[in-house]
Amino acid sequence: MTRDEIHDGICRRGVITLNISGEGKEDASRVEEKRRDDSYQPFTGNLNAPSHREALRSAKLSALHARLQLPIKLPLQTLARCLVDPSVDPRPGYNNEPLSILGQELLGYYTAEWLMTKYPRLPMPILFAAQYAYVGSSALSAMRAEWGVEAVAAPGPEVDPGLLQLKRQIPGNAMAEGEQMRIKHMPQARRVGSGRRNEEHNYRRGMSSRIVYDDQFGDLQTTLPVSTSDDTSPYPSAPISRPDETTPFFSQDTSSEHRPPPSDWYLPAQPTYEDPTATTLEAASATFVRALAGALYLHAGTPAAKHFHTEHVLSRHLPLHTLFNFAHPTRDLSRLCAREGFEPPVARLISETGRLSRTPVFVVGVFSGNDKLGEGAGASLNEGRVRAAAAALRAWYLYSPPAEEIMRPSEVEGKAGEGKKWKSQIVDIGEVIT
Amino acid sequence: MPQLHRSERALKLVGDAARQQYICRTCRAHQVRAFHASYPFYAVKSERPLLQRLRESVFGASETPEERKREEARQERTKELATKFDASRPLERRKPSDRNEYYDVAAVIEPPVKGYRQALSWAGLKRVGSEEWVKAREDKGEAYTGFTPQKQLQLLNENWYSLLHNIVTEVSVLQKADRDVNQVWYPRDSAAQTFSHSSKMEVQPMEGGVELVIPQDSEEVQKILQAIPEQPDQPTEQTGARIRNLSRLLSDHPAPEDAWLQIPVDAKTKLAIAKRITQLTGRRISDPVISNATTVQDLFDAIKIKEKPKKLARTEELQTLRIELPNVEVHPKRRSVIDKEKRVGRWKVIEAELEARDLPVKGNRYPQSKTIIEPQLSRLQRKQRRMQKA
Repeated sequence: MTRDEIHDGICRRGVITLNISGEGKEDASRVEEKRRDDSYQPFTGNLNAPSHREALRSAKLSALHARLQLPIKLPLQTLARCLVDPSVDPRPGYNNEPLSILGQELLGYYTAEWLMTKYPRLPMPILFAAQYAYVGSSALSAMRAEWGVEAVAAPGPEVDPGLLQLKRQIPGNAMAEGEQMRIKHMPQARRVGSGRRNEEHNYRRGMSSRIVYDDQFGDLQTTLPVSTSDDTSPYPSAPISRPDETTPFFSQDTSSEHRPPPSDWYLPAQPTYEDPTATTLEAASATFVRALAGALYLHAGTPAAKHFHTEHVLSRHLPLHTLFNFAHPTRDLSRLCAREGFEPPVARLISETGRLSRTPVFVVGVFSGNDKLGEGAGASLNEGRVRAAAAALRAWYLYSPPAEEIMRPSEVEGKAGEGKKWKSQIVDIGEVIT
Repeated sequence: MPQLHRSERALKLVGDAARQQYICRTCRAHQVRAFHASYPFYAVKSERPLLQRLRESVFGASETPEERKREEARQERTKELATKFDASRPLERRKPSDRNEYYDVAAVIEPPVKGYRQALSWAGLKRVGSEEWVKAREDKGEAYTGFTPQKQLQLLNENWYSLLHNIVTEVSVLQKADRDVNQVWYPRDSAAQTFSHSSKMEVQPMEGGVELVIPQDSEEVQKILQAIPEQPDQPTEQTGARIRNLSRLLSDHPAPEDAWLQIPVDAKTKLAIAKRITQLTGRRISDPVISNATTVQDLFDAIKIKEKPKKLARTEELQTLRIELPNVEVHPKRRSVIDKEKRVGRWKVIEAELEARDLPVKGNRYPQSKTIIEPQLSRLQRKQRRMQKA
């Protein structure tokens, strides 16, 4: 069996099927086999992306594989598949969408656990912002550019497989043809939703609702269709449970075991391949990087995926202290001291210069008893006091335990018998809410 | 030359009538010879060349004693011959024409063949282009057999190697036997082949190269010497049989190791070798190669089949490089702008947009690139177009 044939098999296997229950395992394999035998329909539309057989011949792809120091376990064909955006090839067995869903969860998980264990007192908005700064689409897009991965100008079967394959969206600011309006103002412009209930009422989005409804960055899930009912699927073409229908999993009727399982039940509904939605370069870049993380996890396992995350995501320097924006730092600080049982904070002038001049400088410290919580310099006494309070709050929120005390959950994941023991980590009660 | 120019003018007129615009150089020269006509002026004046006329005008028209003596001797000889051949005929040195010009009368020459009578007029003489002449030259289906085979023989390199060894052996044997090396290409009986004998010859080192070991009393040498004729008057062997036998014989009698290729060749030897190769196979060796050849190796290099030079991208080294370094691409052709655009998928967009605007896609090599605007057409072309449309 050649490499190509093996990869053919990989590609035909389609999306990463998630078993809902243990019972489905047998049925799933049966359906998989059936699908492979007779019901597998080859894609008859116009192929818009280069064949995966071209991957072995692409110098760009090999160079990228070497440049990123990817393990040999990750074949070039999979790397080529990671570069195929759903906007070019809508078949889930050939594009990077299934891999990117897995990769997005992995990158989000590794980043969040690192942030939470290293900075246990980070307020929720800062945590969201830091998460976005590390694995958000703009950061991943910048990462794609830094890797030297170029995008195609227009997708087609003749292009190099080492390029990011995407169908570009017409910019919203472009003028519509034969019209006096911009694309984004056209009446048929696609309305996007967030997957929230009662979206049409434009309810206020508090932190709690961001945590519950929105994505891992606390942002609206703009790619989802406008929700009309409670049955909104978590992602397009995701399986939706319909208990009223007779299915092998939910049916009480034992005779249903003999029925052939409906193949489209746990395989996603076959989408129409006629007109895949165009996308932006940033979104496609992010999908590619996430898909690469997912592919690494599948081919080379957790260590490779974690190594990738450390090397490419955590190696980016993020100045967390600049993310803070306090409205009332003095009030917050006094609340914090009261909550933690410290003495109330007192601002004291440490030094000053040029009080009667045009540019005076006051260095103010905020003290709790004899402990200096923070220090700030300002042009007036009040500014110095506020700055000192903000510095004290930043110092509190950016507390990091000693490096040898930090242990991430993923480090001991599946390694119970290998002598590595979980150390309990600090769990803060949360930020001060005033 | 004025004669040439006038003839050319005449030819041009002829050519125009026949709608033949171009006459090749050979035909032109042929026509010039056929239609050669000199001015009467020059015919008259040729009596007295320019130098003589100048001399006469300066020094007077007196003949030098040597000239006079030569003229007298000539006249004496002519008179003697005329008397011997036809005494009745009066001798005329010069005949005055109507225009008071003098012409030489040809001397009567003694015939070399007995019974030959010189014609004094052209009546009854054979003429080039006459009916008899055409009949004599007409094709009666005779097969022409030239020195070289009509079809060039295609041999493998090992057969070329064996053939050259055979010829070199024959030439060396002839040299040792103090015979002319050119006898090697004298036509010989097709049965008299020397391949079985020559393939047994060995080489030995000598000063400045190597030499074939040729014992004069050996049986092989004697057989080779017998096979090569000493006179070139033997009938030529049949070409087809010669070629068919040659390929088989060469395969049956392979030549020994290649030390003999270093045998030095002199001018006469290498010409004889080249001529024998041409005679047997029809393969000609170019003059620069023959003149620059110093050893048999040089001749072999000239006749052997050279391997076609590979494209750099197709060489074995680069093929292995492609496996070892998959991030390197080598293309057999230079990458053009179009290739680069195709690589990123932009070319089809460019092509579609250009076609949509009715603009040329690639330079001027597109079907309607030579379309002429209507007013620029000649009257005749416009007429032709109208007829085509009708």
